[in-house]
Amino acid sequence: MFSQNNKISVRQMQTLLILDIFGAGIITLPRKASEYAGQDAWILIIIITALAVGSAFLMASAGRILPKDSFVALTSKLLSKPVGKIIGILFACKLLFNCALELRLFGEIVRQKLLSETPFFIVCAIMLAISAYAAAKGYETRARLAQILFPIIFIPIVFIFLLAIHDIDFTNLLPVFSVLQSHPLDPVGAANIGAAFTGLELILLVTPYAVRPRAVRGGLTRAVIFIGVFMVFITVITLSKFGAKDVTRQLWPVLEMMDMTDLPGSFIERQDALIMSFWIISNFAIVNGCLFFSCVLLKDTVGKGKHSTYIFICAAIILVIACALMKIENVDRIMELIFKTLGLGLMVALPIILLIAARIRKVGEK
Amino acid sequence: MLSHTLDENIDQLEALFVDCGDVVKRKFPIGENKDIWIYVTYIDMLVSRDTLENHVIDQLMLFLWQTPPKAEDLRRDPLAAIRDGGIATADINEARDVTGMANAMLSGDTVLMAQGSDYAVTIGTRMWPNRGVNSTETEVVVQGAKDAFTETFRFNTALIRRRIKDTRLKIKQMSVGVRSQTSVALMYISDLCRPQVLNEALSRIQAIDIDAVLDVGYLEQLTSDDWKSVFPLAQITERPDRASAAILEGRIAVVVDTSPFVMIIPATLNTFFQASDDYYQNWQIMSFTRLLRYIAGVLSVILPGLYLAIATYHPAMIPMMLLFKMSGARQFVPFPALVEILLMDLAFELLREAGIRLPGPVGNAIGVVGGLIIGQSAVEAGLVSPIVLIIVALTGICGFAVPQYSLVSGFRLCKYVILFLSSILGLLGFWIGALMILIHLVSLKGYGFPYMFPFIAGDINNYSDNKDTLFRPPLFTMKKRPIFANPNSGDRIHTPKKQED
Repeated sequence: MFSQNNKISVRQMQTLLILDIFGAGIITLPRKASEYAGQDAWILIIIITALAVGSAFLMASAGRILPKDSFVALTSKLLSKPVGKIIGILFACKLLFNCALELRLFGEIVRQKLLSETPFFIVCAIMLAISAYAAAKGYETRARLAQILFPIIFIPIVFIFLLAIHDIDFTNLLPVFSVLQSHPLDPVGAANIGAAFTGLELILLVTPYAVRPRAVRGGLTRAVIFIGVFMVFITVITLSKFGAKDVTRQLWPVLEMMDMTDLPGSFIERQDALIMSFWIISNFAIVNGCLFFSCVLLKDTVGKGKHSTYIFICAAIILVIACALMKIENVDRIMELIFKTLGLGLMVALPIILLIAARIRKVGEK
Repeated sequence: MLSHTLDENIDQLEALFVDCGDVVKRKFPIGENKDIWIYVTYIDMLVSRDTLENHVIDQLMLFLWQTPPKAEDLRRDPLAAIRDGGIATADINEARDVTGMANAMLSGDTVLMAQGSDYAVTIGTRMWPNRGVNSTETEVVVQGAKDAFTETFRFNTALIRRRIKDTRLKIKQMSVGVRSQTSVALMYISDLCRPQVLNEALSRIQAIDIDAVLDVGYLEQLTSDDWKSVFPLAQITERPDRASAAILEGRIAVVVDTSPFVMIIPATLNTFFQASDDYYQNWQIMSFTRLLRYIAGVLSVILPGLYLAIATYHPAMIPMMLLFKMSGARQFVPFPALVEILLMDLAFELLREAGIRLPGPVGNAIGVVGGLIIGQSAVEAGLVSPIVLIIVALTGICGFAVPQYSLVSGFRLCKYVILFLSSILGLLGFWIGALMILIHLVSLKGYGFPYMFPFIAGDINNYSDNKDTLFRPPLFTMKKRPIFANPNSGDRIHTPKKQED
């Protein structure tokens, strides 16, 4: 009765987007931002968030051109069928790569913190299997699951960070604007920080799933602001705790930060395993999101079958990339490379092209 | 089809009941001249002797003799004349064929045929063997009604009707089962129930083509949205007050003859955590109890798996003193922690099963004595550690704190999924198992309602259902009807308009 064939509310869409973006990128974000802006890292993140909000607005606007059409159908109508299909395949490849990279990072962290003797392949395969199960169930199930997972992930993390406040030194953030003023910001480097917003490009794909497509733009823009605020919050606490120099020396400063926070009257001796629990769920959200949308894109491009038909092949590709092709040292570099090429193309260039094409062809709403 | 000749009709009917020793039949003449032959038949012990003899046989033999019908009426339609003048009960129907007659007899009606009539009269004389209305056994409450449903169909509908004195309470009745011809009734309030749900329920029940329906459990399984799921998608209750409350929420109660349980559809996970007496007592204490039930429900699924994951893979999480104690206690245990837990769990499940099958007092004794002796002996023999005993016992107790048994059964099976995955992959396995169960739960739907509503998709009813979930709000705040009700049915609490001074 309330099942509308993969149609979801804007609230559910916001929750999904937040979970899809809130991934491995955030655990390295304070380090990366500090490398470029020192103690002004949090200001840099505010700037990046503002850019991300603009990009989200553009992508959602592009989705509104023909709100009932899938992404491949939209690009095919506006930019010709072959171009639409090529973009669809490139987008799917980007998602598959993102997914593999997230999985790679996840496997590595799990091996370091939880299961040192379990083969990497097993860890990745299991995470991929459960993600494939969720992806096969469809968008509606993913949205409902996100509503359950959201508080499980965010409440404990916010709680731990709030506890950390009593033991931090905000003077580590001073002097404000000093780094950004003295060194002109490297735009390429700043763009790398934007990789933390990987997953934002999914906004291009979601409008056809909305019960009220017109509400998508405002709703998702607010979700991006929420993510930005959360990122600033985490960065401020982490920087204040360690100082900019120490943060740049740590591989995963957010994890270190959470691990060092004492839970008052705690029954738990060490929190790292507990923190990893939240990380498992958050990674699951990203992996199943990328897997789901890559299958949807392939289905729309090929024009045959259901999205679930493509899950096995996509999962196999992801597993092969994650296990065989990369070393962990390269993950960050590849992530940034993909973000600066395909990512920025999809997040900024493509929506602008689509909006211009729609205006020229007089398609969709004005 | 029946003929005008009585003997032919009798032959047709008796052919169906060959070798049926419980069929009582009598052909006898009535009237002033003893020239009107009639035939009465019924099945012994399915009829009320009192009604039959005082209001049917007595009337036929004496009343018709004293005041015989007019000869013209008897010629035109003898059975109608007899029916109108000689049967002192209002519950009368007609049967035009042998199947109709047979079905009426099998339901406890008495069949009356007469020479010259090509139809039969079925007289409502049903009085099935019953044990009366007893008190509840599986859904005991501290405060609230103690009566329970019984095996007698009409008693059950009456127990609900007694609580809802509204002409809009409808009872849609049908027979299900080719051989059992079990009476099934859908009870609902016409303006509260969503028509789509009612139509869906009707079509699912009418589509059932099975030899026999012996219990409401048959319908629960045959009408389920997802037969693969271990979670119940319909509520089963023995409490008339619970069924009535559900009907007042816009849901449907399905009453099945010979079953002392009633099925309530649709159901969500949240409804399984609600007990009748939640609404009979103070909201503060019942909110506490409700929250406790939810915690117990979650613990009954995750506790053994969580313990196993932490104790085996991440002992560093455990405080040092506790870890020393646990290690000391486990020092001489010859089994891995998984086997330890499975051993104790097996013992617990066996005790539970034995306790159910054995007669009441013996069953209780088995539960207490068995639990104490086996537990203590196992620890003393060094087969299990005390902490495992506590974990398994706590898991079992948590299961009992959930008010609906069918949900606990689902939880029991899910517990093993998490336990095994935790034993292989520690906390990662624990979360993979938990996610697997969550994905399944959020994908479930019963009659189109998300199973996890209102924890998910609460916005479809403006979040008004979220109030009555982990906590039970004060009654006066529960103004809106739940999601199950027809959206046009208005509020359930009608706030009186303030009178001007």
